[in-house]
Amino acid sequence: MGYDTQDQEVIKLLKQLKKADGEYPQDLLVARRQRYQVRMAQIGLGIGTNIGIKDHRTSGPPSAAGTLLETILVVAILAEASAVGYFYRDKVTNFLQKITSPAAVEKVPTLSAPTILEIQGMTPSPFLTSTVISPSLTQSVSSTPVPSFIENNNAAATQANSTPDPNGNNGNHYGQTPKPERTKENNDQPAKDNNNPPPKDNRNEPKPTKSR
Amino acid sequence: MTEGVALLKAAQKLDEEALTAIFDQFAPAIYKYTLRLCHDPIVADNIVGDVFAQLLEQFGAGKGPRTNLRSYLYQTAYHLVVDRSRDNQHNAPLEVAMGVYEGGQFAPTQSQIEERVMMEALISAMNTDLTEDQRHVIILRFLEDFSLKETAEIVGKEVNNIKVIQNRGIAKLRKAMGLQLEEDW
Repeated sequence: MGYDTQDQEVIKLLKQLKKADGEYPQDLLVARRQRYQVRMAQIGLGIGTNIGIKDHRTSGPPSAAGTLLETILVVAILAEASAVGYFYRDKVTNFLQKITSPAAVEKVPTLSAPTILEIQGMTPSPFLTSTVISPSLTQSVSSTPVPSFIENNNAAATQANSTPDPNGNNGNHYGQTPKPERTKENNDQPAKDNNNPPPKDNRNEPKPTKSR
Repeated sequence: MTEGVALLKAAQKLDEEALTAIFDQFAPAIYKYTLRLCHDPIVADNIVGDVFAQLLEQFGAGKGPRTNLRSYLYQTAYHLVVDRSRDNQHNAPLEVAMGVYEGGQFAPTQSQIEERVMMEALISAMNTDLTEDQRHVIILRFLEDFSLKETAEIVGKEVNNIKVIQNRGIAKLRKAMGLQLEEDW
């Protein structure tokens, strides 16, 4: 790199300044060199570096300080875990109840108790079957004359028979209506009104002959 | 060069002789360089200790310089000086160099008195007129004899940038010294 003559004068002065700088004081240099050699020996032995620490932990037996530190860490972890468990004990309880309660709930539908409708020969509607599980409906069912429906399966039939018959009338169902009784007056004197004459279409028809 | 590479390879294997040779070879130069930057013999000595402690740790961890050990040591020293100057905001001029210069190494002849005046002007200009980068580049280039490439590595800038910084620094020194010389005369 070329410099101007004036620049070269400056550079020449800088070179002279270089010579004029102070030397490393001998006492400081000797002390520094000794510390450097001590440090060098530590590095050579693997002390004071990460590598040295790793080797020491893997190869040698655990020291007393290491054991103490490990014990302190374990105690701290246990203390923290117990504190957390104490603070969140309600949540833990709820969680455990959630885990255990579904098994009890599932037992209810597995009961093979016949419902009232099954006893009467009708298939129960799914609505009723599903609502039996709810506690409110269970109570209403228990208020009926079949209170021990869920509790006792064997007594279900007898309890079905014990349902009261409302005065022997089970309703005017088709085909079950009672026949009206004929009075004598109607049998002796037939009605002469022409409003309802008997059908005459079949009178002139020939009677069917028996075919052999 | 090959000797330096062999020394470096031996030091990487934590050879004590090689590590001691490195200290003996570079510690005084690092001290001078650090003294020029921080102007405190105790701080310079501490920084030398830190530089070589870091070097040992790097070698112990399987790292450290692979090629240019000298640049690496100067770079480490420079970073340590910068860290300390950030902490202390210590910005004293080159009193140490001046003190040594005033210590009576030169006979008080007329020519040497003139030279001494110019030296004082140079030191004053370096401390007052140059920026931090210009001063550092001037020191590395002309007082420590580093090449442009090595200086760029130490400072952490491009070579072209170092050229620009150097030229501007020299121009500032020339101008400042010319003005001061005119005032003195």
